[in-house]
Amino acid sequence: MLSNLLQRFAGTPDEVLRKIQMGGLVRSARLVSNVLGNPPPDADEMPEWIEEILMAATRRICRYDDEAMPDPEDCGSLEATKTFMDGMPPQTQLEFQSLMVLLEVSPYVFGPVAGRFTQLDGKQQDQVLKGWETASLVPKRTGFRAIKSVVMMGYWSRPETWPAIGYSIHDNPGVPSPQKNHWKQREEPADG
Amino acid sequence: MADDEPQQLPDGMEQVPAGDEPVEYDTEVVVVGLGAGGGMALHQLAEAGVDVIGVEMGGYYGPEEMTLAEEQMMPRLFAEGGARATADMAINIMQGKGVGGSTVHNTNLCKRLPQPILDRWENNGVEGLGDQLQDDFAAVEQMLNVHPIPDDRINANNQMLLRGIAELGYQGGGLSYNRRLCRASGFCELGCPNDGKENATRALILPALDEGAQVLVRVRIDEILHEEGRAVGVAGVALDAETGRARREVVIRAESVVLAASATGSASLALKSGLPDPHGLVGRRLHIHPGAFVMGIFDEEIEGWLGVPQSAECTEFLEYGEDADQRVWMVTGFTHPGTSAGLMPGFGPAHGAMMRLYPNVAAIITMLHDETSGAVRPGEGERLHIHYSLQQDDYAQMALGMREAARILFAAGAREVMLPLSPPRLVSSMSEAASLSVGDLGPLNPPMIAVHPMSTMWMGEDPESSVVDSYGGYHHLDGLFVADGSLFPSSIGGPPQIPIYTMGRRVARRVVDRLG
Ligand SMILES: Cc1cc2nc3c(=O)[nH]c(=O)nc-3n(C[C@H](O)[C@H](O)[C@H](O)COP(=O)(O)OP(=O)(O)OC[C@H]3O[C@@H](n4cnc5c(N)ncnc54)[C@H](O)[C@@H]3O)c2cc1C
Ligand code: SF4
Repeated sequence: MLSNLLQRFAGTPDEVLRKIQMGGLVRSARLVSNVLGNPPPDADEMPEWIEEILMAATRRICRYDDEAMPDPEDCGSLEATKTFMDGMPPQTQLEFQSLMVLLEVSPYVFGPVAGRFTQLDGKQQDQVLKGWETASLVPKRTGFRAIKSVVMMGYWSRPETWPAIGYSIHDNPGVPSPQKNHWKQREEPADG
Repeated sequence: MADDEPQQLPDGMEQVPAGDEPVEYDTEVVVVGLGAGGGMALHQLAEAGVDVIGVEMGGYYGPEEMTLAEEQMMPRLFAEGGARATADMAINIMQGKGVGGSTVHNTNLCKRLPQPILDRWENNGVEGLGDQLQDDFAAVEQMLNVHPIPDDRINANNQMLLRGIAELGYQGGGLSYNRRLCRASGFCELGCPNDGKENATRALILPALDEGAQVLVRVRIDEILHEEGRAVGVAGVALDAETGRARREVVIRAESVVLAASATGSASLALKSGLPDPHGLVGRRLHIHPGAFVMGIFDEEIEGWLGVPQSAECTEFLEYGEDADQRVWMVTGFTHPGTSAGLMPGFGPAHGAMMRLYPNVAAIITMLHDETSGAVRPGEGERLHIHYSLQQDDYAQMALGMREAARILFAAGAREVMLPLSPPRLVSSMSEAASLSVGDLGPLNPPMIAVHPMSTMWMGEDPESSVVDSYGGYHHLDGLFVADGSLFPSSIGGPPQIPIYTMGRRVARRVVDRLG
């Protein structure tokens, strides 16, 4: 099935991107989802497999090798990313999910090895992301920028990440007490 | 403050309940969109005793609902959840949504239109830009408590700009703002938790309710109704607060329609409604003041997120005339961690190292007084198609702005400067920054943000070369007026809110006159 898909998308990376643009991002992602036997992007509820791609990308984008910067899994980053995305128009959400689907299969076209993004090792995933970030093709760079902005918003809006950068709402003299109390409650762990 | 509490709306403001049957209203005037222009029009009309309904696509958020959480407030207060961009996704277009529009999260800088811009507009056939307009500016400034920003409100980021320009002998200085109860929290762009801004909501819309105006929130207007050469009302849908999906049709019949859905929203709505536009002008001539963030890294802590975010400008490279050689306006910029992280270069450990420098970063936004013209076309629901590709001489202005922002940062003591190229260029001397040329720039290079869309339904007396007359009246449809940033015949090269409020006041006066 995947080889059919690749045949359909055959050509140089430029040609593949042009075909995706012409076919429409969401339509292309639906097609890919279909071929992979997975549910297509859905604005009402992000399918689990797309959530996994998002989490895999988050893990690499926010892998800081810095003790003060928590793992995205440990600080509710994905939940915050989803809150941010839920406020976007349904079509925008579909497009973002479609980008994730294309990220998942992009190694088949752009390397470094033929495989799904979520199945590559960390180093290879970094190579894929770097390829998108520095691509000479503008649609790939804009795609990376969109993914990065959403993922970063999820991670860095979490208070657990702030001590590493000296940012605080509690120490801000201009923030009124109701808001400070609200944050205190938000920062308490869910189980306690 | 709990996120899931049902919302209390002020008296006079309502959310249309769900239902199968369309709900209908009758009024003298309907105002579509309640930002700077619409808020002012609603206020002036209500004060004049006109029966008026204001309709706003977004919700109403009082100061206690400003949670300061970026991931919550961005989607609540910004159009398309903060994801609006040009069609090629190269420029983010940040615009407000909700009662108060973009004035809820703007940074309150206030300036009148400079005389060279007024001269340019007059040469382009706009009337009434003399004393009466200056009186309107003065009245608006009084209503919004506009005053110079006190010295003790200038935070470290803005002091850096002032220090840099003083060192270089560049023109610029402190600005004025419209605040009263401000406690310098630094959260302006996420909505003020202290009700510190004299924005459209606080200064105009809530007082208009006391004067008898009615406001419908979470209603998106999708059509301007017109019959036999006259606007007769608007139609749209009430939106569900949770899902944003349509839950009931809404029709508002009115003798006059005031369009104030912003320079993108109003033009898109006019096009969607198939209004007569014999010369195909509506939606064209879009200007946006595109801007790029140039960051300086300092040895000392700047903590730019604290205090009043913007209070100083550099105007050394800003000229206004039609043949201006330099068209760059520079102000400081700062964002909270979620947004800042997206602007910092790279990802993974390299990005983490940059984030560690966050407290030591000061930033200048280099904004173009743009000659590039874009176009707006309607999209699905609240989405729009915005076509805007920077023309070459504007890229040259951007290169100039980035170089000069670096020079100011170095003059102020920056140890390194990050030029937002793709890939980003970290430079440690001005000679390195000076090598930046227009050839280094292109789409997404630098990534740009625009917060001032304008000029899509511009004024003029000639119906063949302008969309509305000098007082906002649509040339080709009676009873329709425009009262927002769409009206500007050119880019203005400065903060647009005071000019838009002022135009809202002037258009409202015309509407009242026409109602007789
Ligand atoms: C981050 C930021 C900072 C800024 N800082 C400054 C500053 O310091 N000084 C300054 O002068 N300017 C600033 N601005 C710009 C300024 O706020 C805007 O130029 C100004 O508010 C625009 O006024 P407007 O009436 O044209 O539109 P807006 O204020 O944007 O209001 C338009 C309203 O119409 C509503 N609407 C749109 N479509 C529909 C529809 N179909 N049906 C119903 N409602 C609809 C929108 O939801 C919105 O509420 C800033 C803007 C941003 C984004
Ligand atoms: S700086 Fe002032 S106006 Fe801005 S959010 Fe804080 S208190 Fe409000």
